[in-house]
Amino acid sequence: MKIYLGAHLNFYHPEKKSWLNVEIQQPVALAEILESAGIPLGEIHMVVVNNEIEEMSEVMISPQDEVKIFPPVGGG
Amino acid sequence: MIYGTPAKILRVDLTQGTWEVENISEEFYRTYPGGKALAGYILLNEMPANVDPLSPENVLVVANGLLTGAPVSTATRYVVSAKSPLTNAYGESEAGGFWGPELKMAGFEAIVVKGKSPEPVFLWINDGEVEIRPSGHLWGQKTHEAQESIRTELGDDKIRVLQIGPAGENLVRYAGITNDLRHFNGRNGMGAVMGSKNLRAIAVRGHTRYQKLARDPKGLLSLGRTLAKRVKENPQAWGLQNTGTPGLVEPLNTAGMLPTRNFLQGAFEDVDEIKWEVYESELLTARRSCYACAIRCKREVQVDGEPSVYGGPEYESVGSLGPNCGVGDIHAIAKANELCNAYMLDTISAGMTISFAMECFEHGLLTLEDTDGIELRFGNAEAMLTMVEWIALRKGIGDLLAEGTMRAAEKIGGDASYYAIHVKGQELPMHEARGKYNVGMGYAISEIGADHLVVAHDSMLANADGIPFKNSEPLGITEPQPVLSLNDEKMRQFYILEKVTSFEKVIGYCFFGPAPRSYIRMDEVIESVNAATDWEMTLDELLEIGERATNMARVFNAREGFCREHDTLPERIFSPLENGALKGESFPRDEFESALTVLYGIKGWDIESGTPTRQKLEALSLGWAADLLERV
Repeated sequence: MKIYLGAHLNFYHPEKKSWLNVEIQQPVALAEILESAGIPLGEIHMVVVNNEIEEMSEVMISPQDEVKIFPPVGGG
Repeated sequence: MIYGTPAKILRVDLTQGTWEVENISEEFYRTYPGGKALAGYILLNEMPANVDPLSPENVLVVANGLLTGAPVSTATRYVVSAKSPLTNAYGESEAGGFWGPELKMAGFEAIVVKGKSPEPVFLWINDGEVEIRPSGHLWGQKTHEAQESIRTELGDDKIRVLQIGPAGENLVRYAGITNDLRHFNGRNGMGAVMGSKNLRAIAVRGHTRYQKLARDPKGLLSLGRTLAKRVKENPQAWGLQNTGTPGLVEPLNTAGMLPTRNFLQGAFEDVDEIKWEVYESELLTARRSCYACAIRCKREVQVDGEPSVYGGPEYESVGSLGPNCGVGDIHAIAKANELCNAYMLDTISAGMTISFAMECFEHGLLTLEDTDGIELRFGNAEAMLTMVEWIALRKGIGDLLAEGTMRAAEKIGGDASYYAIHVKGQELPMHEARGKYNVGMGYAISEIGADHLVVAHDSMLANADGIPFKNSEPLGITEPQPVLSLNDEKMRQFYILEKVTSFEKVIGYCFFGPAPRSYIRMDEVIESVNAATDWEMTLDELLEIGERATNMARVFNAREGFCREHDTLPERIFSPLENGALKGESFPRDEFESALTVLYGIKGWDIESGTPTRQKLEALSLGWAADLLERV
């Protein structure tokens, strides 16, 4: 599956890409995936799973889910 | 020598066609070190209350900040200030680019323009020499034509040109000012004030680099190199370089905070047609910077398949001319942005006035007869483009819309005022207050009318583990706060954050430079001030400078009759959003009134009137301003 790294979160992608490829076979905590990918949870303001905004601490993702994460943005 | 400034103000009397140079003292400059503070002092002391903003009695101040032109990322800003023809209040608009640094290199900290020239003119400032030259031949030209004409006439293609366009000449109440065709003093109608004085442009050339003015040029250069390198190591700054502000479109839409159809909605169904990836593939040709700035957040674009001579649309312009008008065509948005730049209209107020007219049309308050047969409905990109030109030229219904939403609504009557989304007469920018309450408080309380650059936006300070929050700890911000709250601690933080933004407008930093919005730490801001000067300034003194500037603007407004009742929000913002992630959310009216009382108390302003108390003004070394108020 792929996770969309919104706004400037692609800063943390090794190749600065906006889609992070993730290999999962069963439901996994999103926080765990992001931490292992080197994306600081403190930089994430909004988690969207299948077009619904969710709380990071509660999110388990499955291979078929569409996941987007965004940092705090504003001003300008 | 006063470090960090040429310590000279150019004073121009356009009625007499004369100019003179004023030297300023170090004691004065340390209290009012440029930008918003210097402009506020001059406006309050040199202009009586209640003048017509479009009359010769209005005073126009163009002022650099202490650090404008320093070899440090984002220290490029200058302010243009006057009484605003849009709000009849304190008027102000900042811009970056190269013009401010060039003015400093030409030997001036600021320019004060009074009176009105009998004929169109432009100013030519060349290393301390000044000429008032005829500009009748430029009148009516689009901005890129006039810039080319001025450079050709003066025989130097490196001249920096600040100018208005036909919209300013035609006294459109939200006409802006541009420099280099891609940096804008967009808001508050400062372009109309220049137009009312028959002043088309200020052309500048200078050769004395900032380093010659600084106490410690090597220290300043060293800090500048450190900050330039760090852009690539900081996610906020790198993000600004990567996408620029258009990168905000998708995240704000997802959060339900992309103003859509005149703030009726918070999510736009065609967002996939206008988001950054589309902008990048369809429009982007290059990234550019302001003077000495390593962030490089400016975009160069193609329009109609040709490289544009104007800068590309920022987030605000994509939002106001796009989803706010129901337009999901990135090419139409780019064209509208180009037209705004050519005629020099504020893209925010232009888009918001068009969306206002669209909503009036949808409700039958404007008819085909009013619009000369144009179906002025949400989503009609052709109509939106036509309106931009008609407003700039005051053609047809454009003449009415050139007055801004507040005045147009009064003339249209009926429910039109409900569709006029403004504060103090200035239209809301593209940030949804119903999703970030401190931004709403900023809209309400700002002395210039609705403005999104009053405080760092709420989400920046909502997470204790986030970089923006950690960078705010030296300011005494130690408890993260929810975005949908106006609690007492949040008002305390508002008070601090407003002082930070205000001192940025005084000393010349961009909102995209210092923390919490971006990456320059407070200790580095202070280091830059103290490398430029021998003042050994502390953070407390810097914050006081910011607070002083805000209070002068507030006194200006009190003198003009503004009070607590004007610190409010459009009725629509107190009503529920129609769609998106925040569907049903409205700005909490009761909580807002309570929070305003708390905030006034923290700021030392009278709770009934919202006017700064004498005690507060004296604490800020503004006893003279309290005297001014007592004479009203």
